[in-house]
Amino acid sequence: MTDPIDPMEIDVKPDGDADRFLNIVNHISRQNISLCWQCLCCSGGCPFAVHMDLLPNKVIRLVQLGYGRAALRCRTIWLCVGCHTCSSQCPNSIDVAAIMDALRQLAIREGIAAPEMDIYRFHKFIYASVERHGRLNKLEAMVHFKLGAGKIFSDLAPGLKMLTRGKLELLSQKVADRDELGRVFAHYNRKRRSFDTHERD
Amino acid sequence: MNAIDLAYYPGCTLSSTAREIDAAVHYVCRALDIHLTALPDWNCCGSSSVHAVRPQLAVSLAARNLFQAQSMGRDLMVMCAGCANRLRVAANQLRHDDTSRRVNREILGATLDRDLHVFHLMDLLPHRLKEKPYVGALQRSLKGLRYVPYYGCLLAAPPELKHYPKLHGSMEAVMGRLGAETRPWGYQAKCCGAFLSVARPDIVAPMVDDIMDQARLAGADCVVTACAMCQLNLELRCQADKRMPVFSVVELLAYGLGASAWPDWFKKHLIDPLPLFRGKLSGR
Ligand code: SF4
Ligand code: SF4
Repeated sequence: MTDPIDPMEIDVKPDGDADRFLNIVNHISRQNISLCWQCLCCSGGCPFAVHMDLLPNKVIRLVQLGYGRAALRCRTIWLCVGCHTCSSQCPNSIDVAAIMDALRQLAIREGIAAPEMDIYRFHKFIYASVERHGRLNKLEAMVHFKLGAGKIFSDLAPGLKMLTRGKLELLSQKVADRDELGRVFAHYNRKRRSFDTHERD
Repeated sequence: MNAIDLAYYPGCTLSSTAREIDAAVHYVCRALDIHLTALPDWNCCGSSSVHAVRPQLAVSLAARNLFQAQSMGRDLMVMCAGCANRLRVAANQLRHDDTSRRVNREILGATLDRDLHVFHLMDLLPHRLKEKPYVGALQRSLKGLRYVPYYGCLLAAPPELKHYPKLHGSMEAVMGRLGAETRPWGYQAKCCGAFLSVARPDIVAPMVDDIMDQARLAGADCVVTACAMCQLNLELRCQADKRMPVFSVVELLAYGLGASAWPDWFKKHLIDPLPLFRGKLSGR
């Protein structure tokens, strides 16, 4: 896997109208990022901090200052699993995990190649499975993920074990009201599809 | 008898990789007169990757489930930490955020008008087991079993959910009734690695090993979880020499309440708990 982004190559100027980016992120995440006073409580507890190129509080700071591109290009937003360890510590009641969600959505929309391609692909196949069935078919999503990542044989043994213990479903469970489910996805896809702006891998 | 009637949201995990937990949930609820009626046509709550890449779409997915519970006139119960958070966040937004109300009325033709409560089963169990008719409901004991309670992110939530009760101590309350011995440790709320277990196993494997090492140092024979994903990650990613049985707290409670299907549930574990279970509890 090539790494399309050098984490050190961070834009040092705000991109265009600084408040515009801040407002968009605030809107998608339903947070008020201006409240952050950079106390680092969020970063202190993050289980993935050691693997991140920017600590979570720094990502928040970049958004405050309108450094959109830098915030959308970092590894951090992809490594975040949304565990809310940070959010439950923030003295200003900022849901940091929700901000990471919003930044991921914007990174995909802007067609910025994810520096964590395996994580990006994982989200892509899980999302596709939910869009197709309304429920997650883990086996299908995993097979697509493994094929896409060129790692067909990694995890074969635990995968087989899960199959034989009846932990993976061969047949998909489906939502019955397809029309209603279709309306949900169509509403958001009309604005901008999530995953097809970004197929350069 | 004061039955509790709830709508039940099984979710993608309990209806696939963790069917045994679903069976145990139903057994426990039947024994404690908690009547569960599954949502008629539930869909993914959005806690999978959907909220990670399209947060507001995830709210609409959750909304579709919440509206079904609203039509049933019941509060909702879930067994999964991720589902609970997603459904609660969505319920909050659908009640207090005008944009969300409008958009979801357009898409799904409904608004959330009741203060629909989303329970996690662990919200209910400690209290329920203390109520008169159920104090004597336990038929089997787990005396001799030494465990560490592992909550993972079940103890963490977004700030807007602060009014929901904290679940800290709920597993100890249930396991204490069963007679098991809690071993103290500091890893109760450590993250299990969530989906990075699949996408970046190189990061998650050492985290899981660390958790298992700490459990052993604490003097435990096993780890007890309240989340199917935690259980799967610990079992799947832990190194061979650090393996230790991992249980779901509901499986063990169902056993205590007299369920006969427990050997079938345990056979589904990736780390076989039967030797420990038989060894510790033989003759009882
Ligand atoms: S904990 Fe909250 S206030 Fe402190 S740095 Fe993180 S987001 Fe900002
Ligand atoms: S939600 Fe994301 S940023 Fe926050 S502690 Fe968890 S992994 Fe770290």
